[in-house]
Amino acid sequence: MMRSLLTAATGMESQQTNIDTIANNLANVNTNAFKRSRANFHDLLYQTVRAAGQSATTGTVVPSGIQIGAGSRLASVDKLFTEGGIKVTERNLDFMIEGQGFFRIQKDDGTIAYTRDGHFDKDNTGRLVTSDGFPVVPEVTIPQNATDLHVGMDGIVTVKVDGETQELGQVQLATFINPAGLQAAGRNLYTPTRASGEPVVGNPNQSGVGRIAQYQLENSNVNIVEEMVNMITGQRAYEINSKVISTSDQMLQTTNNVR
Amino acid sequence: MLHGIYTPLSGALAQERVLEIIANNLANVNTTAFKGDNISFKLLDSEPERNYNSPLPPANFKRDLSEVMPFRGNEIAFVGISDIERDLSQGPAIDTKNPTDMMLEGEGLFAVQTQDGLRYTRSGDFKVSPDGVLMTSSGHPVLGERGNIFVRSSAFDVNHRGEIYQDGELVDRLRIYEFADQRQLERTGDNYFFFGGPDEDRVLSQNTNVRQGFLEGSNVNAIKSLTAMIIAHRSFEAYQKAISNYDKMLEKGSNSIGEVRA
Repeated sequence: MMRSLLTAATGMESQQTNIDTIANNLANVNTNAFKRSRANFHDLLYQTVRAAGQSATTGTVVPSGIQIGAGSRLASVDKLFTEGGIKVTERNLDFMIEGQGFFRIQKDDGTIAYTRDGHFDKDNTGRLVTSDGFPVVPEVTIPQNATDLHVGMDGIVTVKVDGETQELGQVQLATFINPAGLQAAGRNLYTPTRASGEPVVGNPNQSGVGRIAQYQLENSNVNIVEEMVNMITGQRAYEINSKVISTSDQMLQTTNNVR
Repeated sequence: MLHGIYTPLSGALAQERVLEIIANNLANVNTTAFKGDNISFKLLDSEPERNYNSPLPPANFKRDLSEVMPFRGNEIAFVGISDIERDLSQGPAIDTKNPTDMMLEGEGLFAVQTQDGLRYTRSGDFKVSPDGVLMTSSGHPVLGERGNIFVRSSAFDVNHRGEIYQDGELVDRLRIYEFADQRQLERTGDNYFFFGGPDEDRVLSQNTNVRQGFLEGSNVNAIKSLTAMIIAHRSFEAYQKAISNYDKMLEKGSNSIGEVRA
């Protein structure tokens, strides 16, 4: 049967994933510290009908061969960890990371997850927690009668209790060699994988993990215009590949009508 | 038998090949740094002497498209594929702002070490492995002048000469090769190329620029490809028409000639 039917089908499949990825990016355009994804495509294997460089006759060399490709495939969907925009919030429990680091969060199963979403709250015991109630590691507990909560660039949290300044602890950050290898676990959380490498924990404003800025949040790094353009090209590429399928189909139909 | 029926058949088979090439081009319309293919045809040469009724294939019978011509005659022409040539023009620059994305401007290719030996690619969608090695998205190390490139993290700068700097220090320089004839590069899938030619046909490129934060898009022109597809489709149809006309003539020949009419 015609190879072009299957080749075009691989193209449609690739574009389908492309649109799926773009849809998720656009759905998260207002998600705090969301990192957009990008689908990467590769070409598939080739059938070599005639190899380049072969001798056609003695003394002559075929200048370019005949290779017929089998279409495209999804190579990877990468998270792009470029920094998102800054949203000034005037809320004292909003922390933003300037730099490469991640906050460390303890999930309910005891494992550590990582996030760049610095929108924190207090739970009923005064611990600093994410909006899902997972505590920040190392734990920071805010006393009941504390006022004037302040976080420095170095992550040290101080409050005033009865007019006296008290240090509560230091928020630590972790970095990864290959953040694109982190696994997105939903709820703005990431878990390390073999691809991301082990986390390197450090104090903010030191050792290249980034600084902390209070009263700010990191926006999503999705650029709507860019995604719309990608969506248009993705949709059209899908359409074009479907055209190849219908053309192949019509050619087969013609063949069937020869007799 | 009518030998002529094989002429439109060779044309139809050639057009089918064209559609296969176009299908691959269009399936890769969003593939990073993909280079589209162009197909060209040639007139298959016919024998000077007549050997119409030879029941055996000719001595220089080749196992390719010319298989469709079991009988040769100098007044019958056939069409075959002469070349599938890669369009080597530069693809569009896509601004990704991702520090591990690199685009090549010029004729060079990145060198990649795979388990099957050296491969070359123009696709600069690189990553950093957990050991800090710069890799392609298929997980093979990209080669610098000193071998594998250890960058430790994705925070590095690449200048137009392909020199990678981290914290102000030169880490390595990307090995970018240029070839005497790029058409000798064979595709192996995964955006990789294989070079089997002599070493003197491969030199380190001096005039290929590297741009960090960009990717090269596919150079397939969708409009051109669609037009070519329409042409292939309709030519195929026309060849089929010719075949069915031959068929009708044969039918006439076998059923009408010699028919006794009252």
